[in-house]
Amino acid sequence: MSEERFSVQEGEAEETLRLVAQTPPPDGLESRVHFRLNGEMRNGEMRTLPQRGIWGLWLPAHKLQFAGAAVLVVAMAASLWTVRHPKMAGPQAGSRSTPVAQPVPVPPGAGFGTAGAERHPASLTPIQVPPVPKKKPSAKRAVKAHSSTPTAQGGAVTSAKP
Amino acid sequence: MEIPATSAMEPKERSYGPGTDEGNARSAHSVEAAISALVDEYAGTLYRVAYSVLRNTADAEDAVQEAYLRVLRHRNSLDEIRDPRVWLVRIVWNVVLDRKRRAKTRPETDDIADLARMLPASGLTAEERAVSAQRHEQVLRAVQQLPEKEQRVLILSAFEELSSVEIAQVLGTTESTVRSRLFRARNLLSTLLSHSRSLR
Repeated sequence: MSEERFSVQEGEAEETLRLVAQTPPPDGLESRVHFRLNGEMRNGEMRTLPQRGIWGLWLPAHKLQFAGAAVLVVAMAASLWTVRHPKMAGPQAGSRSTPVAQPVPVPPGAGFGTAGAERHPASLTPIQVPPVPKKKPSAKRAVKAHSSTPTAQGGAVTSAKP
Repeated sequence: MEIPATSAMEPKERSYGPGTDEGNARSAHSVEAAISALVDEYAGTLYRVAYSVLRNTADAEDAVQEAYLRVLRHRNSLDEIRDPRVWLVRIVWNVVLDRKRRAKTRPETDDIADLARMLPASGLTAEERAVSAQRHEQVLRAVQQLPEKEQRVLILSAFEELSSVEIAQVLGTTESTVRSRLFRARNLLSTLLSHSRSLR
């Protein structure tokens, strides 16, 4: 009983869908499609003709044309980049530079050293610079300097001995 | 199913030099003729496929035109098409699904009622016509409730000119998948219809 009802309902459903599928197309559908396609073809020709006039002389295939255009764009971008960003001589201002490792002096005859090792010939004797004696400021000199300061600035001259 | 031989689909440009102007002009002309023949032969079928999904005359016609524009874009590969009818149905089917996806927010209830009233009911009295329209509406609403895949197979199966193999080609699946989906769709539809009728 239920199977029979199912088949009846199926039949009804399929009939409905068949009726929808058999809906007749509107009059003049083909002619409108033809018209649209003709217009598109004409537009396509108009679009392609000037392009072929310029590019057709140079590269034969469309893919090569695109590849050539891409190469040109990349080259122009690279040249612009180099013009706008010239090479910097030193480190940029504000950037922290790491301390440069000083070469380690290696005594003569010490064998192999590191790559940055610095060697001096044994005959080279370093110049001995005598230490400069430091002058301690005495009380007398301090007073003299204090009294002579307004003179230097254009003030009144006090009783200072030459 | 035998592939319909279209005389305009024959590659005529092979007899001319491919690089010559005359050859190019003639091949372009033959391609135009081929597309024109495709329009004359299959525009009606494509319209019916589009209409069965979109249920709107203007939308269906737009979909057909868009499908032929896609054909125009692929005019260079027309010679490689073995079965232009299935190929075209597949194109219009994709166009229709794209459009449906884009216009998903539009309510479909009014469309169903309108469509049910518009379906042909010749030789029926006014009362019978009303009952028939009501039944059609029930069926269409039930179809609308089916899962997407089953719904698509059911819609395409209503086209007498499409075999299950061709439906599989249009949907990009295998024939066995189409058959199993169709079986499931019919069962689901029966259940939905019996449920909706028991509520009344």
